[in-house]
Amino acid sequence: MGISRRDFIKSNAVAATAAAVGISGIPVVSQAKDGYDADGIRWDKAPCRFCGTGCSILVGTRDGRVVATQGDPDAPVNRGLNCIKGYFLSKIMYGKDRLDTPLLRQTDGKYDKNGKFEPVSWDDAFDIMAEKWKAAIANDIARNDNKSTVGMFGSGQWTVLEGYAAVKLMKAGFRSNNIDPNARHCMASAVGAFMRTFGSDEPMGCYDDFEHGENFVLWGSNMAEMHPILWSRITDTRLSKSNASVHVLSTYTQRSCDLADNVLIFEPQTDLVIGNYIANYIIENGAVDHDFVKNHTNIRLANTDIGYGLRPSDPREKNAKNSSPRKAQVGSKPMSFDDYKAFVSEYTLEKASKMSGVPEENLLKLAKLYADPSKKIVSLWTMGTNQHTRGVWMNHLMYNLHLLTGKISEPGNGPFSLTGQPSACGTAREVGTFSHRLPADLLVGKAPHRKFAEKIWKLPEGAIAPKPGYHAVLQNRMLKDGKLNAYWVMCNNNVQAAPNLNDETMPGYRNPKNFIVTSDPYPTVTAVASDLILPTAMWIEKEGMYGNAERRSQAWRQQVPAPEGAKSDLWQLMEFSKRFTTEECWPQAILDANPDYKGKTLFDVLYKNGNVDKYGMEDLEAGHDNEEAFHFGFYPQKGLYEEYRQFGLKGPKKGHELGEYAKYHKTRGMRWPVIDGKETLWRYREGFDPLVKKSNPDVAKGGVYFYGKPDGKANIFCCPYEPPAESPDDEYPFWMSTGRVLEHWHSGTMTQRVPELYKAVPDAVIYMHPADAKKLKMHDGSVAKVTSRRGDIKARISTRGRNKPPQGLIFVPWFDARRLVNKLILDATDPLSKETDFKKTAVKITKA
Amino acid sequence: MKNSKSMMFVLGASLAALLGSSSVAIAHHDVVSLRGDLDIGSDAQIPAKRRIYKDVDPFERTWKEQPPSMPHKDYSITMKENRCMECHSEETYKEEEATLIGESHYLDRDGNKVNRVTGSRFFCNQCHTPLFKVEPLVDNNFQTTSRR
Repeated sequence: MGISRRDFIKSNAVAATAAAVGISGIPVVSQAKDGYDADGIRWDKAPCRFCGTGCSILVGTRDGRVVATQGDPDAPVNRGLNCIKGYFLSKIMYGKDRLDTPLLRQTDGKYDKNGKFEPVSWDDAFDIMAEKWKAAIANDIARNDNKSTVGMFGSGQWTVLEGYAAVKLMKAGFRSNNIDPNARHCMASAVGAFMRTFGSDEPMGCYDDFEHGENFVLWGSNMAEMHPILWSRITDTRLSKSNASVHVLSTYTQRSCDLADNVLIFEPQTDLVIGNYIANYIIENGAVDHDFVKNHTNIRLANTDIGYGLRPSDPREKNAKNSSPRKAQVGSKPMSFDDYKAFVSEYTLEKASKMSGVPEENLLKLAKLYADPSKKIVSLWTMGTNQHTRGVWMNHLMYNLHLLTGKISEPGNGPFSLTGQPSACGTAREVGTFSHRLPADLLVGKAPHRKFAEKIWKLPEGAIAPKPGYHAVLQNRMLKDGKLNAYWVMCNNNVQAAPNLNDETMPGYRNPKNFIVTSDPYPTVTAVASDLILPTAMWIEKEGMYGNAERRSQAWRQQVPAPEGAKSDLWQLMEFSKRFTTEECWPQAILDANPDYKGKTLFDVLYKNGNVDKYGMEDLEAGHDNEEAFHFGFYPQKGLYEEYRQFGLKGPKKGHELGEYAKYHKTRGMRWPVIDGKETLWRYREGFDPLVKKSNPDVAKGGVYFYGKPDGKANIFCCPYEPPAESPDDEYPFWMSTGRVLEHWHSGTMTQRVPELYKAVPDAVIYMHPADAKKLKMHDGSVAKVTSRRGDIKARISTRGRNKPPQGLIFVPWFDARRLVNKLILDATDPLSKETDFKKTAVKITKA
Repeated sequence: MKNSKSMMFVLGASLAALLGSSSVAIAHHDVVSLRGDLDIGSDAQIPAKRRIYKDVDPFERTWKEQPPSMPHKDYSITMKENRCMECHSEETYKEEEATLIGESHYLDRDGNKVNRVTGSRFFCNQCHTPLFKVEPLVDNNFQTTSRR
């Protein structure tokens, strides 16, 4: 601890020395000088805390507090514009019930699972936590069955550095792969399809496609509410280009339809039919780019009848031919073009229209657009496609349309998977906080990948366990079954978010065998369902980095101190690691073979390893606090980042190269792969992506090479329509979809505490067709009870609101903690991606 | 030592309870989520009937760059018609006694002046919404400054 924090200028004293300090490399609003404006407010940049768009914000701070926020005019993503949530970022840290002390369930001063929350010191909190963790790990080592009982549920809202530190602690420190991010609920199907199709995660295109593009197709996305700033860019293009058009595929009419030239409201699950119909249309009408298909693709037939990711005892799993083993689920075999042609030929216009309920003319209009070689087209999707029991397949079906026509990897032309969370890409996917992954697309199941990670981490061979751990839904099942006993929830609100609360989530949280810890700035539903709550610093109370949907990594500095007593996730992870020795966590065999590691703490081997502690206080930016650096005596964010970056630079998978840490602080981010200091806008095409020529020196000028696959070819996956896990019947006659609203972020932890956002949308309502309400003898404003096989909620009906469902379907947002609507949802997943389907639940509606 | 520390916390909490004061820093130890006293397993209360503010005076902003909330109901916006502009555009705001949209709304993505509301700001409801007449669910300690 060479330098004490007193040697640094504290943020709350900084205004006085404004003129002398300056913020290097941050151009600011016009009247501001050197980062400070005439009112003594310091303006600095940070990415927005909310969605995957990754807008840049200028944060105004004075005396250690945020006093204003505004859109960052110099940010290419948003050019000074924010959505309503982004504008109100100023208030998210100041809810009156911010937590500032650890809270432990106790009776008579002792931990008691059925006790009441009482404040404890951080020391006491980590004591009891370490006791529970050590007991679980000791059991694991004694059983020696490779099934860890330690787990962690993380987040696509963690910073890149936090996610990376968590992966190290879990996968190498505790030797448990039972770490998964909440991004499993939102992006896993996209990841699965990227890997299967291209062998490399994340989109080939970028947001510049919105200005270059002409025709935009939304497949299961309400961008107007969920990605408003990207929607504003598409709106601009649609309103200013005469040849532009917008097509919206959705199961209900929503705000994005206000900009649409072609609205296609389809019966849930029949997007699979529509995708195959358009492929059929392209083939039947001679619109296939045969050169592209021959040179750049392979065609594969996916295994079918793969089940619904339910518990193996469920009849739907028992009756499915390929629901297990894993090999059968993910299996596929090569297929000829003629066989593929024959396969999709049954998806005729008539059939597609009949099954989907979309008029033939609307389907035809869309199919013609994909088929016309002169039309540029961008396909976009989010949760409607990903939260789908055949989500990976549906992603494939959209890629197929672009691969059949060669409309990919060029400005304004290509498929674009949008992300939900601010760092679902950066932290969940790139860092690899999934139960089966390691950084930069590496897998725990592959020995060379583990070996490479162990080398970068300077850890002994065998430190990383070879079997994938428990994914999100499986974690809740294992908690219930008592097979996951020491469990840490960080940076998410999974009790509110996860499906099937009554049957699967709560029994696990309250299982007497389990000790559940939740780290959060606020008392969420998850926090109060836990045994220990850790108060957490958030957003600009710490230094961080997020990665958005267009591969752009953006960094920010700590700009205000956290409330006294609250600590960042990074501090918590690193500090907790000090309580464990390698002897307590690793099998004797590993230590015997590597005696140098004996007698060390996990902190020593994971974070004081010469990499993470490489950078000292002299590397910190003057004028900015860094509570973690002050505490640990080195600059952990930079050390973690530079170690992490080695995975992209030296790893076995090319294509995830990142730039130097300092550069991200001086720019509005860069899009990877960053080669020779330069970002990449379109991947896989010569002239845009320098890795193409490096991977294939013979590539033609402007040619395509999908270097994520060994032969440079992407896969066209042939996948049929299969029915959903549950459909409406006589008893539960309605479809229910859940989702977000513009004004609230996820479970409302932050936005429900902003008065203006709460007043804008105070309660979740049941969006319903007026004719359905009338049939039920109700109307707009009536209180209704929505019941599924797993629970019920009460809410008021809205028949005139922003969402206008067709008859037979309702939409209910899930932000409202007082109406935990996701408890109605079946914990069925896409068996390939393990992502839950939040969009198709059978419910009945009665008067309340 | 650790024990005495936590004992002090407990003592403080019970003192606060005795005094019945809500301003004591540690009074939040009755840990409740946004559900209030409602148990996680129990069914939700019936939500109150909500009404929005209609045709009231403009809401005061808490800082300069904040987008104003609508002091009236919202109007429909489609590709063909933006009803907000019937009152809030340069041509109409005086006669309608409405607030003129900000200068920024007449700049395109590249900062060039345009003579109608710019495409990227066409859907007013991305930033501006009506408000319901409800008290905040949780008080917010954001401190406003003189910069309104």
